[in-house]
Amino acid sequence: MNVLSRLQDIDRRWLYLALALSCLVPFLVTIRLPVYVSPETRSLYEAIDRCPKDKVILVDSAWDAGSLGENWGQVEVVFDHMLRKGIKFIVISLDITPLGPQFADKVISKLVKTKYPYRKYGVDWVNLGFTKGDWQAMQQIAKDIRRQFKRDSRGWSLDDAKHLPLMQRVHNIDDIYMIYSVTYSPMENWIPFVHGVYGTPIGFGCAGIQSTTYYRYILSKQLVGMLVGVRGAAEYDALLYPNVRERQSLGTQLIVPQAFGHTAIIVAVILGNVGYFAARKGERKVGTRR
Amino acid sequence: MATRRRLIAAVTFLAGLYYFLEFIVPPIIPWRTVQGEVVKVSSKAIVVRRTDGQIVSVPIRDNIIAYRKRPTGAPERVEPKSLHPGDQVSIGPTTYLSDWITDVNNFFVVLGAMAWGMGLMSLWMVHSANIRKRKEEWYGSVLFFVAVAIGVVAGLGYGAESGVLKRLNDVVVNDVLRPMGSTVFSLLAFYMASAAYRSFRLKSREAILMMGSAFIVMLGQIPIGLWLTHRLPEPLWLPVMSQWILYIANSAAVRGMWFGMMLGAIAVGLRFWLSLERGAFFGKEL
Repeated sequence: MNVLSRLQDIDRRWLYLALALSCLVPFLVTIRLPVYVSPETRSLYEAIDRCPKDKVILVDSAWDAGSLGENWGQVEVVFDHMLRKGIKFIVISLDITPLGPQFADKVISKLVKTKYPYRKYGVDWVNLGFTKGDWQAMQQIAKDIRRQFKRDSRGWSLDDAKHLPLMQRVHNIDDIYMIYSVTYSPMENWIPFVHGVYGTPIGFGCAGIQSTTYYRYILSKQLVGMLVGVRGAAEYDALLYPNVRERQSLGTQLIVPQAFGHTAIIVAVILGNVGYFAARKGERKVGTRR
Repeated sequence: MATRRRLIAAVTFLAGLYYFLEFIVPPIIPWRTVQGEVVKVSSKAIVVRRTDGQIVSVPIRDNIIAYRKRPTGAPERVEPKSLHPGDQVSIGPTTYLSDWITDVNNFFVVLGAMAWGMGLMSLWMVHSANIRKRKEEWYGSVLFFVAVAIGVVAGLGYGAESGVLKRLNDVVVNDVLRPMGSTVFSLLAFYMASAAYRSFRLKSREAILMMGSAFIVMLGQIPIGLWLTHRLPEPLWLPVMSQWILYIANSAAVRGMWFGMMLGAIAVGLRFWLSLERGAFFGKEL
């Protein structure tokens, strides 16, 4: 067995170490790489930017710790955009995880504390909390949001004008400009049950590995845009902050480690194939000698 | 036992039948629907100019419903008395099916929520049996009950402005669940790297095609792809080639796959609706 053929039998612990180091190095050394903004990210950005002042955006933030690496950045950049422009929004968490509202709260409170201290809960945004129901809940929300949510996540009635002035002008789908659903794998039922019936634009934020099933909706214009994994969050951040030094979202922080991690996997696959072909060549030579 | 199976089958059929009929039957009786533009609204009748020019007066009764066309083209149900001259409407006696949709939906939302409770009950039964019979690693079951109790108490702190419960909630969610959940999912990256290294071999033409597109898409997702190819003409940039693969080739393949899967889902759905499935609840077809 020659040296090259041993490349296909590298102990997996060396691979784990190489992957860990390649993801760790960008956290220790500042490396900046250019970001290419994809069409689906740009169209989502432009759709949110066009939101009229008298409408709100409904954000279905149904993710938790498992997909935090990808979804945190996706909601962070969109919340940043809406808080900056004064676009009012309502956060819900539909069906998938009851921890969704808390993680959304964490992202918003961090943004409000660091960048937008003048934005107020109840005036600029409301978190209605978790609900179950899939497409049934989507229909209820579209017809009358108070059929599905009686109170917000803090316990105040939706008709409480003192604590929730924003909700006094939000009743049904007519008051909602757009729906942005962020989770590991957003529910496609938003498309037939809301976009199909009322024409409301829908945008998704999803894990990279799940995105391949949603590209067809963008082609058919049933989805107005999509943020794909960490890349989508970094691209949206690049649109929000053209100056790279101003970008602080989790997507921008993680895109370089992800780049190095992908590169490490590609190098590992190439090495494995080099070893495979070297071993095959060696076997053929042995076969010829015999 | 046979009676229970028949009861389950009957309820399943009726539930599916309601949703099927609610979907295909219009909300207004078709042969008594009046479509057109509202001319006049009074407390006793709505006067509509039909699409053929004829003027029709529809008396307002309890069973009369109206659907107004939104600017987007989608219909919205409105009270007949809230119509205005100039509105495009469909008005007539209701078929009642759509009137019940909210209550039926609420019922299924509650049913779905009960499934969570059933899951908890099932776990309770399994783990309490482990402790009672002192099965292997029964202390894990004790930890399960302790974790459930802590989770329930911590959950009471969500939404609170301050206090012990809020602090406990923050600790459990931010300092325990968040890092543990992230850690478990992060392990996938190492497994995938190892699996890709061991299994991706260029043994055939199809494997070469798959590997090539995988490399293009993986490099197109990260800035390194743009950095490697930005000096080439734009159509040859890795991100641009990656976009073509995802939008065109991938979309075509996924559409074909989903078309087949949905046809299968319709067939399976029909079998469940008509209780033709054999399985945990059915020893034989009814």
